[in-house]
Formats: sequence, C-alpha cells, structure tokens
Amino acid sequence: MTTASRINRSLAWLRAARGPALLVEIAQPWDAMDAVVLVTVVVLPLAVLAPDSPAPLGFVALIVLGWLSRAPSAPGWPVVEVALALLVLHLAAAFAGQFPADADTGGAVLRRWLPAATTAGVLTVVVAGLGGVLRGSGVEGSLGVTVAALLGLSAVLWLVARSG
Amino acid sequence: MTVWRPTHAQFRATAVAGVLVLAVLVRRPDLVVLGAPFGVLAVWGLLARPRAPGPPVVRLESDSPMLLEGQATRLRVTFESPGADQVVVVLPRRRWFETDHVSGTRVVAGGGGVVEVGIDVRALRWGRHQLEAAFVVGASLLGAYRTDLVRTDGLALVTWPLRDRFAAVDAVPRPAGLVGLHRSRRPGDGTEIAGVRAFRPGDRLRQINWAVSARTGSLHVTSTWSDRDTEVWLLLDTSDDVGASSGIDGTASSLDIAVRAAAAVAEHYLRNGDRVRLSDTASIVRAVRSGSGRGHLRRILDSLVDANPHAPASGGPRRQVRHRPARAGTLVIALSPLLRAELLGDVVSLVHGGSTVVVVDTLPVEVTRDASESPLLPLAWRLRLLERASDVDRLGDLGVPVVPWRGAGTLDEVLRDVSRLTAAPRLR
Repeated sequence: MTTASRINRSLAWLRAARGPALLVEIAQPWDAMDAVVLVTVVVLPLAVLAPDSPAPLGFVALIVLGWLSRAPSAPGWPVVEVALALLVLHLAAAFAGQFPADADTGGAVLRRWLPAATTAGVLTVVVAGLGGVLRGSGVEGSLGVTVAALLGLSAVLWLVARSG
Repeated sequence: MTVWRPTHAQFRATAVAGVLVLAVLVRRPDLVVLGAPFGVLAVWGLLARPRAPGPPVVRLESDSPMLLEGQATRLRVTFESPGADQVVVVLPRRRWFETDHVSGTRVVAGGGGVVEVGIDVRALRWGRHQLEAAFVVGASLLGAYRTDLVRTDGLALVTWPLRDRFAAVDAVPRPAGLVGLHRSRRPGDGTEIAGVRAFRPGDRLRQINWAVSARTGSLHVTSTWSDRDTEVWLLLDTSDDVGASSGIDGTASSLDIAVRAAAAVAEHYLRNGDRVRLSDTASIVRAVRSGSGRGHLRRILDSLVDANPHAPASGGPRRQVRHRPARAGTLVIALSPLLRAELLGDVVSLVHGGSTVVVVDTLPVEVTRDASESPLLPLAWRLRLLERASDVDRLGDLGVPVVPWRGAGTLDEVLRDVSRLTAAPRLR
C-alpha cells in the first residue's frame, strides 16, 4: 500500500467515525481537499486571538471566496445566515479590538453599537428577500438597474478613497 | 500630533463592502447579500468619524492628593475630544496601590466633548508614591477610528501612615504645664469637674456652687482637674528595616510598625493638647521640633513618609546624630527593633537626663521564624534574640519598659506603672 493510499484510508476512517463536522469536511481524499476550509481553520483562531489585526479580514475574505467558488448564486437563507455570521464576527472583532481582554467595560458601550448593527442585519434580510423576489419574477436588466449599480460602485470607491 | 486614524475594523468593513462591486461584475446577487451589511457599517463608521480640530487633551487628577493607609480615592482621567464614542484608560499597576478592577483598565461610553473616567485606587502602604502616567485611547462609533495612545502626566500621591486610632488611658507621667486638654490627676484650673467640696480660702468666687451652698447652708465650690500638657518625644530608629512589608492588609516590617506607631502616638497626644517632637536616630526622617496642634501633626506625618532606609540618599553607614537635649520630665517613646547598640546609648543618656523613656519594640515576630531563605535562619535569629534579650534586661534595670507594639492600648499599662513610679517618693 502506498503512502497516498494509507493517508486516504485514514481520512476515510475519520469520515466513517462520524467525527466533528469540520473534520469530516476537511477529511476529503488528500488530492481533493478543500484548501479554503483548511486555511480558514488556521485563520479563525488568529482572528479570535488578534481581533485588531488583518486576520479577521482574512477570515471573512476566505469565507466570501469559498462562497463565490462553490455556493449557488441564488440568494436564499443560506447566504443570509453566512452574511449575518460574518456581520457578527466583524462586530465582535471590532469591539474586542478596542481594549485589552481584561478591561472593565459596561453594557453602555455595547448598546451604542446596537442601532448600526441592527440596521445592517435587517438590511441583509431585506436585500436577500428583494433578490429572491426579483429573481423569481424574471425581471430583465434595464438602464435604471445598470445606472443604480454604477452609482453604488462609485459610492464604494469613494468610501475606499475616504477611509484610506 | 495625535489624530483619529481608521482602524482595521473600518478597513475590513470597507474592503468587504467592495464585494458589492464584484457582485455587479460577476452578476451574483448573493454577493450583494454578503456585502450589503458591511457597506452599511462602512458608511456609518465614516459618517461618525470624529472631526476634532486638534489632538485630544488628557488629564489625570486625584480627588485627594493625600491619603491615609487603607483609604481609597478616585483618580479621574479626563479625555477631551469631540466625537469619541468610547474611551479606554489603562492605569499601570503600582505596588502600593490597589485598583477597584484588577487590570486597572476601564472602558466607558463617550458622547459629548469631554469624557471622564474614574478609577478607584486604595493606598496600601504609607510613603511618597509616584503614580505612573495613565494611557488613554479614544475610539469612534463601531471602532472605526481611533486615536493614538495618549499618555497623561504622572501623579504624586502621599500616603500618611495613619489608620488605627491610638488611645492611652493615662497619657503622661509627668505633666509639665497647664495648657493641655486631657485630664490630670492633680486638681487645679481646668474644664473637667473633679467634684464639689467646701470653700477654702483662695478659691475663686466663680467656682462657688450656689445650689449646693444654698442647700447645705455653707459655701461649696466646684473643683476641677487641671488641664495640662507635656512634651512627648518620638525617637524613631530607621537604621534597619527587618521583615517583609506587604501593605496595610498583610505583613508589616519593623519600619512599618515603627512609622505607624509613631504616627498613631503623635496623633493621640496632639489631639490631647500635648507637644510632640520627632527625631530619627539614623537621620533619614527629617526631625520635627516640638509643637502642638493639627498643623503639627501634618508636619510629623509629612516627615514620617520619608522613612525609607533603602532610598538612594539614605545609604551608607549610620551617621552619628546629635539630638537636642530633652527637657526633664519629657516622655520619650523610642521605636526600634533593638538590633543596634547605638539606640541603647541614646536611651541611657535620656534616662540620666531625667526623661521618662518607654521603648516600643518594633521587631516583627514572624521574621524570626521565617526559614524560607535558609533553614539556618531561625537558628541565627535565636542567637541574635538571646543577645537582644540581654539588652532588654539592661534597659529594664534602668527602669525603661520595653513593650511590643499592639496598636491601641499598647502603652496603657506601661504608662500607668511609670506614672505610679514617678509619683512615688524618690530615694537617691
């Protein structure tokens, strides 16, 4: 038995053992492993340990990349769940990155973030709903939609330029 | 110059909002769902960006510049910069101060131009302490923008070695004047009523008790005890600091005991109107000449906080100190661990000069049993204590009592015995 066969047999045993979902996900044949998941597993602890660093961005980017490469393009509950999870991760990292872990902080600090966080969360659901409705109704592309998309693109570029 | 800078969080929100562009380019509406919340947060963070004209102004102040041991005060860190959503203050830990939160780091919500962060600190040991500068960081809403680390100025805090109130029933064995406030055993002019007795020639008319006189048919006067004062000389021995000091709630070194005892005794006698003088055999503590009143207590406490034999200025061999001679009848309270012969010489001269001397033994008992550094240490201490016992015996032969410090009431019995002794007829 070759080394590759031995590794694959071990991974198959891991799958058969009904281990944790994450391990099952990783435990594909060695030549067909999901690199995105592997890297994500490494980056997530970094993001937790160093929230005020590029690590959370790396984690979010990997998730988006994984979604882009594998997931269906239709908006639905799965994408809403992923978007809300990323939102929570972003806010948690932003909050935790402001002060040392052993700081004495009160709920008042967190409550001030509530309006923005709620708005972002609600918007996620609304956008997903609108996307589903529009996709189901078979609306054709139009000049208005293109112009709106271009305006949105300009706004994002402006934002990037301002915050840099 | 300190400015508000975008954080990783704002950069992350903006970058992930860029997925919206990607969504348009690759025609993926699901990516719009992923990017939309980050777009909202990026815009929200940008709109809440503080636009302060200059760097933030930070100050560190204390409610009280002087503390008693075990007393707490509130340190206030003021952060002035419009737009701060939260302010993080980190107060570095100091050995003799305890913060209300173990890390000394506090986060408070902002809003408005001035944010005040209060951190309670408790003084654990007497002394002149320098609090290190606090570090302050301001952050905008959603942690989108943040200031650089701003450092406040340091803060000097003085902790006076006063906690337990010392009390003695019979304060001084030989009163020297008639101006004090506490009760004498001798009748005379004063405010404390001693009793009612028959009128004698020489009594003042204002002392006549008319009610008793009318009832008995003969003149009676209200007699009083004399108010008196005397000089109390606190002779501190700071040559050695034996034992470990761990603050007001822990173990005390010999110097801790001596300084706290001196402060307590001074406070007691000054409260009763006596005059108190302080000097140090090792000349580390600045001598304070005889005086009375609350201002004088402050002078003594200010002097006591400098009692640190390990301070750079106080190193080197013990200097020979010439004390101003004591007045006859002065009550001398010597506070010493009795480990050096020089103090014994001072005590002998004072006794021969007519002073009443009481020695307070400040050697901590635990130190003689501590075998943590070497198992031979307790044995060495036993030998040293045997030598010391012979010194104590010699002091006893001179009529000088040696008492360990046990807080309030330590000197009661001793002073009572000394008073009896001084009141008795003398044979020379």
